[in-house]
Amino acid sequence: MRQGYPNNYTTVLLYAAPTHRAGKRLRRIVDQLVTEEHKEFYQSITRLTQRLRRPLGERPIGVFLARDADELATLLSVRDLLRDLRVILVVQDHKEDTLSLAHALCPRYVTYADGDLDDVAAVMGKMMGKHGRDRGVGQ
Amino acid sequence: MPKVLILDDDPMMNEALANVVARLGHEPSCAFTLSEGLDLAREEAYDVVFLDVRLPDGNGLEALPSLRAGPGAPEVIIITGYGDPDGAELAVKNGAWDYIQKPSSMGRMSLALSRALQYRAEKTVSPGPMVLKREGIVGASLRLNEALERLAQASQTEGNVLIEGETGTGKELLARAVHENSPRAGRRFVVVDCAALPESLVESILFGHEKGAFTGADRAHEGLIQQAHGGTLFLDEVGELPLPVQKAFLRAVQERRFRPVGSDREIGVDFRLIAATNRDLERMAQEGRFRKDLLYRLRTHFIQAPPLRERREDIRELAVYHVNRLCERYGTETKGFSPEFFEALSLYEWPGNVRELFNTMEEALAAAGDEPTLYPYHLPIALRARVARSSVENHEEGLPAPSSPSGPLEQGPLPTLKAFREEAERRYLQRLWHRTGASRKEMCRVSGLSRTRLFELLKKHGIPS
Repeated sequence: MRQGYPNNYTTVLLYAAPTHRAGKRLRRIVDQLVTEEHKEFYQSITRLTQRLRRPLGERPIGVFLARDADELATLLSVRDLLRDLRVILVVQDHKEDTLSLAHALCPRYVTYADGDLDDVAAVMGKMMGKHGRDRGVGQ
Repeated sequence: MPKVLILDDDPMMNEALANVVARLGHEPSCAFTLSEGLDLAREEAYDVVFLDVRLPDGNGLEALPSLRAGPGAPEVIIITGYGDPDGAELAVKNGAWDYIQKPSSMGRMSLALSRALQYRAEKTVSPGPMVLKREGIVGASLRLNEALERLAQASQTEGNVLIEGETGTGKELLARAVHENSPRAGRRFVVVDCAALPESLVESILFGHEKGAFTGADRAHEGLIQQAHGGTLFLDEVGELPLPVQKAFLRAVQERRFRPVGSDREIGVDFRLIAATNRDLERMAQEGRFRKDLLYRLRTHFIQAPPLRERREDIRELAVYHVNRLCERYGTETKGFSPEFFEALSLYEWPGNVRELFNTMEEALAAAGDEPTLYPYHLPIALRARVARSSVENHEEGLPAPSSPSGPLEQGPLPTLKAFREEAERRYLQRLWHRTGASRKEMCRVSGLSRTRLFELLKKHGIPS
């Protein structure tokens, strides 16, 4: 949290395909936890990258669903833009290569798309409780 | 021939120690006051300084950073007749080699000297990393360089590392740098954000679990410890790790073996551990909120991430670095900086450290828009108000503003340096007393003085303690 003088809000950026089962669940989680003006949804990495090239506010959170290794590799190619984000990463499978790519992004939390994703809700809630401001958290 | 400076106001002590130093084949020099010693240390490249704490013209501990900044970057051995736990801790945190309480045998002194010289000799011949990879770690201040020196040493070993520092000081960057400079670079760097993990999930996330281990565990999951196999496990905010989990984690650290939740078999794992915290783990251990045995295991290597207020000389470089980075990211022209912009940055205390500075640069950039140069006007109003208030307070109290070109010294006859220092000390203590609400604990924390020394100074200047 910013100290010294009044801080900004926490923006949450969700990158996930809305048709994907886990994508739908992630969207519901973000909708439940974050107020309208502080959440943004992206379905293409190009649009996400464009957004990352504009000011993000303080300690933003990125929730990313990577459906395959290619998508993970594409996220990795823009990791310089992700440096200021606290990334929660949801990966599709349990393969060693997938995990290696996932950890190369240095996410604050990694989980799998085949679970119920209640853990993502819990982690996000805790992150926002610690670092977010009341007006950024809709719970 | 190694050069040794002995800085003690006791002539007998000076002479005895000088004889020992000379007998060991080194070249001793003696000083009896702090100012005399600091002058010598600025002119000559000493290898070791024996430093008394109570000197006629000041406190040796407060001069420790200046002595270490001398041309020889000497190791400093503190010698004091007054055992003071706070002073000893402060000395070590400021980079002292050893802290010896008088009376002590000359054998003890010469052993400390020999060890310090041996360390310097090995440091000189040790190849170390040719170039420390420090991407994102910006600055060249003494405090940062001390941290980088420890980082370089830690990265060459397999020992556990504990990084301590306030929020926003860049502990994760230091942790990544340890990994990137270690033989495990190229392997996984697995982050565990202990502050973000709900207590009910920590154990299964760290150790993994078997199918059916608990309600909702519909399949087996590999834990983060296992995912770090062959690489580095980074436990951020380790002070937030729940006590029951600490016990199981201690075993994983000691034995490099652990048992997933709901499993009856142990798994062996090879990981290098780095932990970071903004908490006082020593105090937490004393209060029973953190396991002592785990703390001792964690801090095989210890790196202090310095707060920004203790590395003010890095502010300018950090600001330029981040603004350039943001301009590149936003695809805009790079900005110029007015001298007043840097002056305003230097007058602020930065309680949120580098993170706060970077956020402020982002806001300044947004405020400037297409304007090519950043002025103080572009800084957040709240920050400018703080800086303005602080400047006015300085002037009201007769103290020169830190970077003000004019001040009391510009008017009237010059006082002696000693009288000026005394006056500055008195005004500093008055302000400290007011700002901390006369809280002894806060006064010690803010000033970095030990309780004993603080009381002495308050008494000296007639300020109620």
